[in-house]
Amino acid sequence: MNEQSKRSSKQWVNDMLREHYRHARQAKEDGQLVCWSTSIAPQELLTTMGIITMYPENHAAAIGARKDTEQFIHHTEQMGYSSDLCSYARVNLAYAELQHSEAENMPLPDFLLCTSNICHTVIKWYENLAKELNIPLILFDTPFNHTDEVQEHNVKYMEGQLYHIIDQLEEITGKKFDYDKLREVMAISNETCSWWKKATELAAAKPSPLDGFELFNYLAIIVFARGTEEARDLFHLWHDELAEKIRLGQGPWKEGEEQYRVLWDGIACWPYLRYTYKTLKNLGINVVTSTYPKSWTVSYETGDIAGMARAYSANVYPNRNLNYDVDNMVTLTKKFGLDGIVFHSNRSCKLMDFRQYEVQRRVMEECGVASVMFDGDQTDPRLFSEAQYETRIQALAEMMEANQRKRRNAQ
Amino acid sequence: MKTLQACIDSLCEQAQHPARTIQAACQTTGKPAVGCFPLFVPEELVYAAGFLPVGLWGGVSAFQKADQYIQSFACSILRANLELGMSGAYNALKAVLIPSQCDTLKCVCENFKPAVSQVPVIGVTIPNNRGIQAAHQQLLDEFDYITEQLTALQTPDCQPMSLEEAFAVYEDYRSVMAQFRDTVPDYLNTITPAIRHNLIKAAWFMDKKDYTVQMRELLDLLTQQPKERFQGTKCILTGIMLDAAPVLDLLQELHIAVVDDMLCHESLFPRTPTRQEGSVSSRLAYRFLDLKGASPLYDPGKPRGQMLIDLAKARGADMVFFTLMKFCDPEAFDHPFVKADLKAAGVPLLSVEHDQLVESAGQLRTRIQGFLEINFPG
Repeated sequence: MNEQSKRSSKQWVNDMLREHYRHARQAKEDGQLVCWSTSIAPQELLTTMGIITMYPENHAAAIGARKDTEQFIHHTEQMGYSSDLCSYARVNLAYAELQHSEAENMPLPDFLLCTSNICHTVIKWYENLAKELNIPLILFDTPFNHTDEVQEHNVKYMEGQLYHIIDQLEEITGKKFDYDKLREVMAISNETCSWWKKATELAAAKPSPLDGFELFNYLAIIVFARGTEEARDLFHLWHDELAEKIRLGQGPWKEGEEQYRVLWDGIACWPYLRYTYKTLKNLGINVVTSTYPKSWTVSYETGDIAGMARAYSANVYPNRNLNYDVDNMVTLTKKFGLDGIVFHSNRSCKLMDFRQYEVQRRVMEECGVASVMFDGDQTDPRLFSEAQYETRIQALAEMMEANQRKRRNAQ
Repeated sequence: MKTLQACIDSLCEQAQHPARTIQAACQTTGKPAVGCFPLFVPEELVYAAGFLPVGLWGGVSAFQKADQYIQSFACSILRANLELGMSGAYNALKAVLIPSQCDTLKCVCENFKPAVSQVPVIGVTIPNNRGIQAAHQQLLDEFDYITEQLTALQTPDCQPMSLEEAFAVYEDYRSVMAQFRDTVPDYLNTITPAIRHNLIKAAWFMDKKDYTVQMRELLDLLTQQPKERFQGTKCILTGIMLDAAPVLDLLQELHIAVVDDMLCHESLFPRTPTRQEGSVSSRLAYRFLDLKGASPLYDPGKPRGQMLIDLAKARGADMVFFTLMKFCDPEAFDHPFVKADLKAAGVPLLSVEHDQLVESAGQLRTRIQGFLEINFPG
C-alpha cells in the first residue's frame, strides 16, 4: 500500500494494464484457462472461478491507439470479411490468426464468454471465433429493451442463463462453483462501480478536474478489473485526486482554461486519439462526460442473481430504448452543465449510430445545447477525415460561443 | 376449373401488388391487417387475435424521409420499411411487430415509434440462447405479452380464434409449402426463378388459409403435367431475400433454375419441422428454438454451410447462390464460413452483394456468365 500510495492513479493504470497482459501470457504458459470476453459481461462468475479473462474490445482499442490496426484489417479482408463489419471484430478475428501486435499481446482463449448487451454483432463475432478456434462459447443473451423497463420474463430468462453459465463453467474447469466467493466478488464489484461512478461524476465541477480523454484510459481498467480490490482502490484514489483538484480550483489542463464543456457520444477514434483530443483542446473544449461510463456501473444487491441479470441488461445504454437514450443524455447535459455534444457516427457501431439523429433532435429541443456529428470509426483509420472532423468541431465551438454570448447578454 | 397458368398468374399478380392484395384480403376476410417486420415473428399469434398478418419486406429504393432517422449504411429492407411507414403506406395497419434480431432492427423499432406514430409498434424478443430451458419459458411468456398487446388493439372487425385453430391453419400452409418445394424440381421449365419467388412471396400478403387453397389447387394442376426435363444449371438460393426481378429474370435467361432455397424471406422458416409433442404454445416456441441456418440468430457450430451442402445434394443442385444483402452484418459474418464449407465439399458458390431492389442486372450478367464458364465448362 505504501508503494501504491506513492503512485498517481495514472501511473497505476499503466502498471495495471502492463501487468494484465503479462500475467495472462504467463498464466497461459503455466496451463491456466484463459477466456476472451465481451466488455460488459458477468465477470463475477469468471472472477469467482479464478479464470484469466481477456477483453478483445480493449485489445483492439489498444491496437488502434498504437496505430497498428491496418495489418489486421487487411488480413481480415483476405479472410473474406466485409469491410462494413465492426472494426473491433475485424481486428480481433485477424489477431486470433496472426497473434502478434506492436501494442500488446494476449494469449489465445480456451473458451469464450459473449454477452449481447452491447450489440448483436458480438454474437456473430464470437460464434465465428468459437468455430475458428474450435473452443466452447458461453452465451449470455440479454434481450434488447424496447420497453421503458426491463421486462420481468426477460429477467427470468437471463437469470436462468446465469445459472446455466455456472454449470458450463463447472464443466469447463472441472471445479465446483463457490457461491460464498461469488458474494465476495459481487460486493467488490459493487464497490468498484461505486468509486468509478463517484470519480467520473466529479467532472461535473466547473472547471472540470478531469481532462475528459483521460476517461478512456481508466475505461480499460473498469473493463478488465471490475471484480478486483485493486481496481476498487485505484478508482478510490482517482476519485480522491480529482476531489483534491476541485478543492484547489484546478481545471483539466495545466495550460489553458476549459472554455466549453462537451459530451462525447460513442466510442473514441482510437487511431486518431491524439488528433481528436488536440483539436478539441486547442479550442478550449473539454470532454467532461460520455454516454459510456454509466454502462459499467453494474449495480445490484450482493448475492442477488436475478438483480445481477437485470443490471447487465438495464445499465448498458445500447441495450435500452430511445426514451432511455434521450433521458440519459438530457440528464448528463444538465448534470454536467454541457455547452455541446459531439456525436461520433461510428461506422463500426450500427446500434449506437442508428438512433443518434432522433436523440440529437430531442436533446437539442429539450436542452438547447449545440451539437455536431462527424463520421469516423473506432479502429479503422480509413474511415476518418481529419478535415471533416476539424470543420465540425470548429462549427461546434462557434455555436457554443454564440450560446454563451446570448446567455451573457441576457444576464 | 382454373388452368395451371391462371393459378400461376393469379398468385404472381398478387405477389407483385402487395397493397392491392392486402386490401383485397382485408375486404374478403373482413379482418384488419397487422404488419410483420423481418425476420421471424410468431404470425400465428396475430392470426389467433383475429388480424390478418402481412409481411413488410421493403419495396422502395429511394430514401428521403428515412434518412432523417438512420444513416445510409443501413440495410435497405429496413430503410425501405421506415420510408414506406413515413410515407403513409402502412396507415391501414393496426400495428406492426418488430423483432430485435439484429442491431439495425433494434434501432428501426425505436425510430419507427416517433417516425410513424400513427401505427403502434409491438416489439418482439426471440431469445438467442435457444438451446436452454429458460429460452423456452421466455418464449411462452413473450407470446403472452404479444397476445396482450394485440388484444388491446382489437377492433370489432377482428375475428379472434384459439391459438390451436390458428396454428392448424399455419401447419396446413407449411405442409403445402413442403409439397411445393418437393414438386418444383420436377417442373423447372414452368416454375422459373421469378415465378417460384412470386408464388412464395404472395403468401406474405394473403390470408394463409386462402393462400393454402390457391397453392394446393396450383400444385394439383402442376403435378398432373408430365415431369419436365430441364437443361441448365440448378441452384439453391441462400441469404435474407432475393426480391430483385432483374436478377431473377437474368437467372432464367442464363438457364439457371432455383431448385430450393434457404432464404429468410422464403423457405427457411417454414421448412423448420414442427414438433408433435407438447401444448400448441410450446410447439410454436420450438419452431423458433429449432430454427437453424438463419444468420441473424445465434447458431452454434455454424451449421449453415453443411445444411446447404445437404440440401444441394438432396435436390441435385449444381451450385449455391449467396444473395448477400448489403450492410447486413449477420450475413457478412456467415459468408466466409459458408464459402469455406462449400469449397471443401466441391459445391460452386456464387456470391453477389446487393440492395433489396436491383434496378438493373447488366454488370451481373458478365459475372454470372464467367462463373458458369469456369465452373461448368462445356
